[in-house]
Amino acid sequence: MRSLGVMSKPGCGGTRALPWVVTRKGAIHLATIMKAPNAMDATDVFVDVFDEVLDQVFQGKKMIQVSNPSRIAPDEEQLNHARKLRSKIATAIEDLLNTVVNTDQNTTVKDELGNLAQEAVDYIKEWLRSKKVGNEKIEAETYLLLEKARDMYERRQSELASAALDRERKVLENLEKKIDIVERLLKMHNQLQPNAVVNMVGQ
Amino acid sequence: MIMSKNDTVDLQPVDQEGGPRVFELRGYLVMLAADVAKIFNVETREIVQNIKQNNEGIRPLFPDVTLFKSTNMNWLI
Repeated sequence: MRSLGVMSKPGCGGTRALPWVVTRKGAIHLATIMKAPNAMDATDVFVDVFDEVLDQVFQGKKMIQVSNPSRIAPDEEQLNHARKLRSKIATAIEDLLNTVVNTDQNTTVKDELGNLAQEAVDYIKEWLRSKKVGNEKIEAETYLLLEKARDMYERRQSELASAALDRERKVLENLEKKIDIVERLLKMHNQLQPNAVVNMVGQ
Repeated sequence: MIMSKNDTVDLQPVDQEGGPRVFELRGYLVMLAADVAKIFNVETREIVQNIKQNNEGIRPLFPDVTLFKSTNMNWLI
């Protein structure tokens, strides 16, 4: 859609722009000219691989070898590691959601976050089943969940500032630790993935 | 390859399992710029701007970028 301030819809007139599509070569070209960190990392991989291949071609080798193929596509070991990490993440999130935050009413994080928590859990289950290493939607969902949990943590902490209840404090400290664990696991999982751009081009 | 606006194409996703959608278009495997933008973590317009800016002059950088009109637009948007 192309207009200022207003968006056209079918049947109401106005101009509609056609969607652009990009071929694989187009995507590689794009990666080389764009300044997004993601794109620049991908360019590094492209250049390194080209450099290696070039050398071998000039040496007259018939079989070309790439020294670090896991930068391009994850190998079996990496996939296994990622799978293990994912199940760890799922357990950590489950644990986080079942933390009792309000000892008086005995409510858990899951109760407080309601639908959002349920959705995130569903997504994560889906993630565990899928074969692909990365899934942005699920990651985004998990980060949203963590953000909400952190929000809740901060809110509760300020509530507690006046009424100093030791028992509640401990619960909250626990909650923070659990949030940290999930975050760290997600980070580890992300580092394990090959660059998203390279992955896309490879598919 | 820029197609005429009146050219209509039916797009069939090649890859069914989650992730970015890949289509086959006239023998090329293509992706929507919007999906590419998500992976690069930028706005779609940045992708289109880059394509346009680098596709001018005597040596266009993107002979592989295609503009098309799909018959099942509703499904795509």
